[in-house]
Amino acid sequence: MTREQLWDIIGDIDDRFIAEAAQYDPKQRSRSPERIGVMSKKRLITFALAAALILALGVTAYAVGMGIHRQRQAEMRESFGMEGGSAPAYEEYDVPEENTSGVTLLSAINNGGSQRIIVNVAPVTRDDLALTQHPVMFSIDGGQTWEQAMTAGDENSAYDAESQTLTVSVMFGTDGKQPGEEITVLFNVNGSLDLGSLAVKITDPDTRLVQLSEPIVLTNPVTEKPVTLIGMELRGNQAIWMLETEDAAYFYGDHSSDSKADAKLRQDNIVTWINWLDEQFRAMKLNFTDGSSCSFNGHEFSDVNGNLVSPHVDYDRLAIDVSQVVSIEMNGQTYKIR
Amino acid sequence: MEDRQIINLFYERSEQAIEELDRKYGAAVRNTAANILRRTQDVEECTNDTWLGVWNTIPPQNPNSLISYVCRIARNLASVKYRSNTARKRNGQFDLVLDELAECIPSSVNVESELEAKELSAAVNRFLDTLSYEDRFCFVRRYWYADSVSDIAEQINGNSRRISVRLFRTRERLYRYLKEEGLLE
Repeated sequence: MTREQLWDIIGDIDDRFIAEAAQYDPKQRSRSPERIGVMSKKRLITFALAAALILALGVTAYAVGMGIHRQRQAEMRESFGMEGGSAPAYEEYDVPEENTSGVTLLSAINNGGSQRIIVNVAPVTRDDLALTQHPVMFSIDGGQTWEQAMTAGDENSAYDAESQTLTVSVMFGTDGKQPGEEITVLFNVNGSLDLGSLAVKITDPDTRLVQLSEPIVLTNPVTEKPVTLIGMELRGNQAIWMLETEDAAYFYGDHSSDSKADAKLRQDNIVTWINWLDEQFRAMKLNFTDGSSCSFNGHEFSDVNGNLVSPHVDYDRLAIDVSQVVSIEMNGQTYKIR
Repeated sequence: MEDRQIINLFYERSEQAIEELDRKYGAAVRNTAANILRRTQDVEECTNDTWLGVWNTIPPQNPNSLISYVCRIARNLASVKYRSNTARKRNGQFDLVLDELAECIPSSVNVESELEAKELSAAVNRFLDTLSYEDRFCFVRRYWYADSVSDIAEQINGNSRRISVRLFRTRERLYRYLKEEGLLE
C-alpha cells in the first residue's frame, strides 16, 4: 500500500472526529494532567492482559458464592500479586456481599499527582456495550464535561452478564487537593442512564526519593555518549527515573526549523532513543526487603530540565510499597539505594 | 451565522452563502490546504475550488457537520493537487506526515479493493473511539489535518516533544489494534 492510499484511508474517518478536532476544547479534556490519560490507557492494556490471564488460568473460582464486587477485588489482588494493604498507596474498600445496582467503589490508588479509582457499575446491558466500547461516562465535581471511563479489562473479563455489572477505571488529577479531601464523581451509561454520584476521598500518596550507591553509566545508542542514571523517585504505581545526558536538547528540544532531511533523521533517532530507554527499563528490577522483586514496563513520557531527563515508568504491577525497596538490579549487577 | 442558516443560503442559491462560509470556515479551509500544499497560490486555488465544490453539491447534500464537509472537500482537492505537483513544489513537512502514517501500516499490506479500504477506514474509526479526547485530537490534527507537531502543541498549550511521543505511542497502538483486528498480517 502506498503512503497516499494510507492518507486516503485516514481521510475517510467519521465527520464527528473531524469536527471534534476542528478546534481544541479544553473543557473536553480530563481534569487530570496530560500524562494521566496516557497512563490510564497503558494501565488499561495491563488490566486487559492480566484479566485475560485470569480467565485463561481459570482463577474464576472466585465466582462461586462470591458477589461480583468481592470477586473483582480478589481478581485484581491476584492478577497483580498483591495482598490487600501491601502497598500503602493502594486502598481497598468494604463492599456489599451481594450484587448491587448503581456505582460501587472497589479500590483507589494515589500516584502523587493523580488518583485512580476502580468501580463496579450496574446495570450496563449488552445493548449499552454494543453502542460503544466504553459506555460508562463520568464527570468530576459536578462538571458538565463527561469522559468515557476506561473498562478495566476486555469485555469478557470486565463485564459480568448475570449481574449486568461492568468494572471500570477512572483517573483524575489531585494537584491542589489534600489527602482526605473529597471529590464527587458522577456516572451515567451512554449519557442516558444517570447512575448518581460517588464521593471519593483523596488517599495518601506514597513517594520516596532514592539515590543509588553509585551512578549507573549507560551508553546512548545514537550518539554513544554516556547516559548516567543518578536516582529515581519511587511512587506508588510509577517510578520517575533521573538520567543525565548531554543529548537532552537533541532529543527533546524544539527543532521546528530543521530541514526535511534533518527532521527525518532526528525522528528516526528519537525512535531509537525511546526504544532503547524502554529496553533499559525492562532490563531493570526493584528488589524488596522480603526477597521479592518487580520489573518495569516501558515509559510513557519524560520531563526534561537542562541535561536531566526524567522518564515516567510504570511497574509491572498495580502498586508497590516504596518503603520496602532495598536495591535495584540491572545487567546482572545490584545497586543499593538510600 | 449558524451553520444551518448558511446551508439554507446555499439552498436558496444565494451568493452570500459563499461569503458567510468563507467568513466562518475560510481560515480552517486555508489551513487544511496549506498543510498539504506549500505554495500560497496553490492554497488559494484549492480554497476557491472548495467553495465551488460546496456550491455544486449543496443542494442536494445537506451535511450534518458543515466544517467537516468543507474541510473534507479541501483536503481531497489539496491531496489531488499535491499528487500532481512536481517534486520541486512538494511540501517536505507533509511528506513527514505520510512517512509517519506508513509506520502504522506496512507497505506490504495491499488494499486492492474499495471494500478493503472501507474496512480499514472503519477499523480506524473504531480505534479512534478507544482514544482519550486529547490523543484523538492530536491524531486527527496530525494525520487528517496534517498539522505540524509544533502547531498541535500550540493549540493544546502543550509541549512539542510530548506531542511527538504521544503520536508515536498512538501510531504503535493503531498498528497493534489493526493487527488484533486481523487487518494486518
